[in-house]
Amino acid sequence: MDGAKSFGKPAGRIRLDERVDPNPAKLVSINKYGDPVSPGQRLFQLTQEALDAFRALRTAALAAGFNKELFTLTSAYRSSVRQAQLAAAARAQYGAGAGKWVAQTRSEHITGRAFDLNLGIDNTSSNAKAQLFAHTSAFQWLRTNAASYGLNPYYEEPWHWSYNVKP
Amino acid sequence: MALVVQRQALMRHIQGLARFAAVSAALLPGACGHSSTRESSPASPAAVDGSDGASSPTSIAAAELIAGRWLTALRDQDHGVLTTLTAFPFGFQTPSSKQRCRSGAETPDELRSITTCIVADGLLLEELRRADDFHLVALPQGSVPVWARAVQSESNRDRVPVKAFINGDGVTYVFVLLVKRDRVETCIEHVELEQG
Repeated sequence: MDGAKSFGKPAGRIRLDERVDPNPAKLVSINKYGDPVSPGQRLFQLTQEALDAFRALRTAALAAGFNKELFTLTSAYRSSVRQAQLAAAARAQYGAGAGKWVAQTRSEHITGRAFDLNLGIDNTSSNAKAQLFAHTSAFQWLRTNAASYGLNPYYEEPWHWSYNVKP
Repeated sequence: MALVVQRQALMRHIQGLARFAAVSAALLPGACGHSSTRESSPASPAAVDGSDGASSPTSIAAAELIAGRWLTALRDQDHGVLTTLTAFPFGFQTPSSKQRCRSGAETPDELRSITTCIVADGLLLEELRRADDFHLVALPQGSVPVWARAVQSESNRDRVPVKAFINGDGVTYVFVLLVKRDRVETCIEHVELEQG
């Protein structure tokens, strides 16, 4: 872990009433590695504190021997507008059954403090239900170490982590 | 099991670099149509037709390459390339949602109708354009996802199912493309939206 910095003690998932868009000025744009974005690269955004936690986590994971393509971002900040678009598009195109996925206009991603990670297998519900993540060395390492960075899991989606610490 | 999966993924990555040149050469006009290279990972089918592979009409590496070119053409709406890379009759399914597009094409015009309909899904088109990798992998017949099991039949043993995974922003798309020789014969699309 980042020896000098304490990230605080995880406080669980971000409360619903705290799930609001951050001030846009507080979002930092990065690539999937947490580095400044170069032309052509996919852009992600996180708040500075969540980015600090992600970078420290990733640094520790690479130091532990993981491939640099693991512990990369696959999703980060998603605005409430984006979430609403996802919900509307899903309902329009995939029918009423989409509702179970997209009642997430209050997703943790709205806060800029949640992100999804590449852990080496496809981030799909079928892999989650089959407990395949639990058998990957990346997830096992994450489960042991994520709390040191103030990160909280979401058991339905093993790739999803949020930065939320006790005051 | 997961460690095995990771090891296989790493093997595929390493082998992919080495075999790319051979695959490209095999696909050049005038080439015999099969690659001399072959996946050695235990997860990969030694030969999709159950033989030793010598008569396999579609090598695994070539199938992945064709599937990637087909998806790229879908993204770009390049109907010329799509027609060239598609076997007719062509089938399309979306088991995780309403079948909003027609399910079969006998002609290039019908194919155009399907592929235009597929990318009318704005979320998909956006993610196809943003994806830096389709994560293509040929699947052993026994490893086809449940929602794509329709491609698993005795009559399809000479085809190679190739999975593409597009990890989007709050939405993921998984495709299984059934490759017959040098063309895509079936496309099955599966979509998931995140709950978290």
